[in-house]
Amino acid sequence: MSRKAIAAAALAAACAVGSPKEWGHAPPVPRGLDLHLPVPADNPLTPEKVALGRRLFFEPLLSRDSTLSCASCHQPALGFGDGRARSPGADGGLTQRSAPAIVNRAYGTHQFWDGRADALEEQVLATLIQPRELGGDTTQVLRSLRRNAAYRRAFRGAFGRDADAAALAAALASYVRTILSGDAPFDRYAEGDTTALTPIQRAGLRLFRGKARCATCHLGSRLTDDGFHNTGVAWRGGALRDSGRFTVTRSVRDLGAFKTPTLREISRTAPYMHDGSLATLEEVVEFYDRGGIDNPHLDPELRQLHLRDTEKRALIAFLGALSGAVREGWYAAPPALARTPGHRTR
Amino acid sequence: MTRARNGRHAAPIAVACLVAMAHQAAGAQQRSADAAVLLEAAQHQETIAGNLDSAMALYRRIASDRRASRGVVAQALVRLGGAYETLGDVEARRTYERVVGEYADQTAAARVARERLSAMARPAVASAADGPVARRLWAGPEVDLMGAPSPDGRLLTFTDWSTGELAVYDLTTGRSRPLTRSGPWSANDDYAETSIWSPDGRQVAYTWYTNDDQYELRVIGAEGGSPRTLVANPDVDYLWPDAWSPDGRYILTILRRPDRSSQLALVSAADGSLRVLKTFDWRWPLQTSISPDGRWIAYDFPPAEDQPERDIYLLAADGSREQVIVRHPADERLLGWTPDGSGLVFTTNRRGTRDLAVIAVSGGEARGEPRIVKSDVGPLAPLGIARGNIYYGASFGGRDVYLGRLEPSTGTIETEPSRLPVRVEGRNHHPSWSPDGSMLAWIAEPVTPGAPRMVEIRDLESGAERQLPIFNFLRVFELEWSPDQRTLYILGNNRKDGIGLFSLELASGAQGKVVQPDEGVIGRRPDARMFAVARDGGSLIYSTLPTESSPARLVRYELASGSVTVLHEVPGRKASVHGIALSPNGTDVAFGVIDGVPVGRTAAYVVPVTGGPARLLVEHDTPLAPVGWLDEGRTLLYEADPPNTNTERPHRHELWTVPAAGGTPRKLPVEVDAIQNVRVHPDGRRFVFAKGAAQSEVWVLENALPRSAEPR
Repeated sequence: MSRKAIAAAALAAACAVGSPKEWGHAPPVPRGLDLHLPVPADNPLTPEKVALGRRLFFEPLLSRDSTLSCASCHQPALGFGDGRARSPGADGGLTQRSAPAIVNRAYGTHQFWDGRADALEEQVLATLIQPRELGGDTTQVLRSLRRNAAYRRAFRGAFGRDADAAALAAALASYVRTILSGDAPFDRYAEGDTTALTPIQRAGLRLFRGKARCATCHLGSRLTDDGFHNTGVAWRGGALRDSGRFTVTRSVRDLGAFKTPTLREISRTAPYMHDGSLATLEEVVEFYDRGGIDNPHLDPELRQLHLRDTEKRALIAFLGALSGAVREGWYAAPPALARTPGHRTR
Repeated sequence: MTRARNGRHAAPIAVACLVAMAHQAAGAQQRSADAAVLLEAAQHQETIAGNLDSAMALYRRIASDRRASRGVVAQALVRLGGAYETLGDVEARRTYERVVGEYADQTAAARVARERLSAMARPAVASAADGPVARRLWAGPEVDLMGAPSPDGRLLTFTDWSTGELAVYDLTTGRSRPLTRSGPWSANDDYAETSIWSPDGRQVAYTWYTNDDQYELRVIGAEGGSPRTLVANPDVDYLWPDAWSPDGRYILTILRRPDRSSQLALVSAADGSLRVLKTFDWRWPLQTSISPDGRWIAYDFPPAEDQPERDIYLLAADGSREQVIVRHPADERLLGWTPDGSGLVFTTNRRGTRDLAVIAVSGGEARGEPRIVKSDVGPLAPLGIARGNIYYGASFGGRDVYLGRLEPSTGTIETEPSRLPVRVEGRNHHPSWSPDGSMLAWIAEPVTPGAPRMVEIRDLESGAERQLPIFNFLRVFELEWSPDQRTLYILGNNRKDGIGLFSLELASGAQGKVVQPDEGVIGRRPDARMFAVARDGGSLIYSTLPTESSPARLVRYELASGSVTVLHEVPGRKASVHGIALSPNGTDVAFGVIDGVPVGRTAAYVVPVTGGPARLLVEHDTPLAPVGWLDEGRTLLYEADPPNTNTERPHRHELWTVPAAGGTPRKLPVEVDAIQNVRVHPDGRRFVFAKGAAQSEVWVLENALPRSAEPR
């Protein structure tokens, strides 16, 4: 090796410094998402809590008749959605709205389609007792958990006490916070790798941010503005079928408005919209191309797009670049669906 | 990223070559011949490799080499003196004295040495016993406030707008020198913007705008040399370095994405890899600061979308935590950390004046309440904290609106223009007459940095006035009234929605987005009339810039349906349509075109508002822009001179008229030096324009900061 080469190598070694990835975080945050994962000060993430929450997430004991778990409607293989327009609930009926894909909820400022809960701790408990969801009885659920030796150990390990409602919510919320989707082709492109998107996907991205106006609401690393918009989905036959955000705020301008969902994993989380009324991405693009459904409270941002067929295809191709790696649990363990005794799937 | 990778590889190889050359030059046989090479290698060690010790060793070796030329030795000694100064070593003085005493024949080096000795003879800061003292460091037309003070407080980076280069101003000698060497404006459009220093003062990170219409993050040595490109990302619309981590490894950078979200990201100073810490919506921090221990990042941010007031936040540098440090209804603007890292320094207007305050911080949390350490520091644009002193920019004077009267048939001035009294000290521009001529509206930008822009509306008969805040506008390019005088339309760059046409309801102050073209951005120039409102109020007429798929266009946009009708097209990738002036009866619109850059064919046309063939009215040998109609529409008034894209450098304009029916243009005998936004009253006689520019200065506030934020 020449002296010049040796000098270059020595210099390169001397100059070698770590990348920002070294800054470390637990659980690891996938590429493309903010390194700052918001976690409430009164419920810090710990491996014990996350492991317990993960077990509870798949636990049918939380439902009224021990037939449903959170994972029944939020299946890892389906981007933590369930592929249904509406989901079977504990009361035998169907849920009022479609089960949303619950990736990256840690970053969300509102939970549920109508945003009636702010904190995940609040959301998980509400789901547990909602008759059309898990329909559980908190007292009964906690009694079952306390009787279970494994859970007794897990709760004491995570919280230093037996199961109670606050600990149950804290554990489930902690686990949900670790369900993260990132490292998609779009993320690599955003970091500067211009080859990460195909030409048609790049054309779709331009449309997404331009003519198709998607980025008006679907922006930032999470591809949502955390806002509520009336796109007309709930307007059928001249009437509003679901008041949406209005039920929370009682503000007329929120009539028929629903939370902007993330578009991460979108190609894996059909059907779409709060009621699952659109089966495919093609239908979604057609819906917005028509300017949504006109109604008295339609969001003023919606208008006819006049997209050409090639543009629609490019847009859908780009949406495919929003699916990446979904991580869940502490240290990104693969989603092995550990079955607890009595676990049944529907 | 190709450029970034090239830069990443090229720099170490170049430095390695120089190191190897330095080693060879250090050999006894070649000492004399290679002294100059050794000096170059030493400079690279100092500025590129960042190895000051190695550089100083080489400078000393040159200085002791009896066979080296006196010029090279003198240069090496000056560099060595500078290195000692960086380290705060008293050897700096002795080294400079040696240059002055032993190398007086080396005039350039001796001059620098004398300047440094002179600067060192002055007290660097006011005595602590003097209490807080504000000193003006730099004034003059070349002052620019996009840079930062060096860690030793001796130098200030800035953009030299006469060339666009990144430059350094020596605050002690008053001399400046360029760091980048991209060439004059005539060669390219590249220029530098925001710049910050590395903690050791050996490098500068800066924003660089390229000919490819892209903003890059670059790093260059404090003595110049070849810059390294760290970030050249097509998915970033704009970026700027805001703080350098104390260990020198990361540059805290704010990215603005094409979807208008903003991100706080750590960029590796070594390879440009980036990691996003936090994503914001369309808002972003005005100031960030990394704690001396590198663990915390402070920033200011408005908690509410519809309010400009900011709070202070603290984010763990590893992303693990975030905390509000100061939450108050007042406006809090971060300045930085106290020198010992025990607290944060910020300004607040909670007592009605802009005061300097400190709050103690420990373990990432606020300890106690903020305390005011100096009252009424006035409006200041923070440049940075160095050696415990606050460096800031201050602006004075501004642009005002003038009202005059001319005789339309001759173009002579009947009444000399006089300055309208204004409520807002700062930039008052883009005056616009109401359709009935009774009111005048204009944009008012207070001199206070970050203060909200406003639309000022004045009833010229009663004198009544009102102000409507438009604080989310980064820039305004045009202001026009609706025919019913209930709405003002604004062509501007809105933080939330980008460049578009917006409405401002005069009764309520409500703002709305009207037009944001999906293809082709709305044309805008700061000194040309850029849109018109049709007489029936049902449509807007504006221009779009050329894109890959469409030429520059004049279009009519129907407010009710959103449909767009193309009125005229101008081929050419660099073409533009501007100077859009509606005729008094509303049937025609005049507009100017340029079909090439730097200057192609330039002409004014008239086209029916309802569409049809455009009629060439006049061609000119310099760019022109119609500004209005005189004599009940029988004459078109236009400006002739290069449309100025830099509002800080107003050009001299000529005013011309041409018969609307066609004929010979006539230059008016009007002195119109450095004016902008000429607008003719509906009576065709009165006219208004904006004139003037703010002057910026650099100041330092000494002895204002406590060493510690802990209460005394």
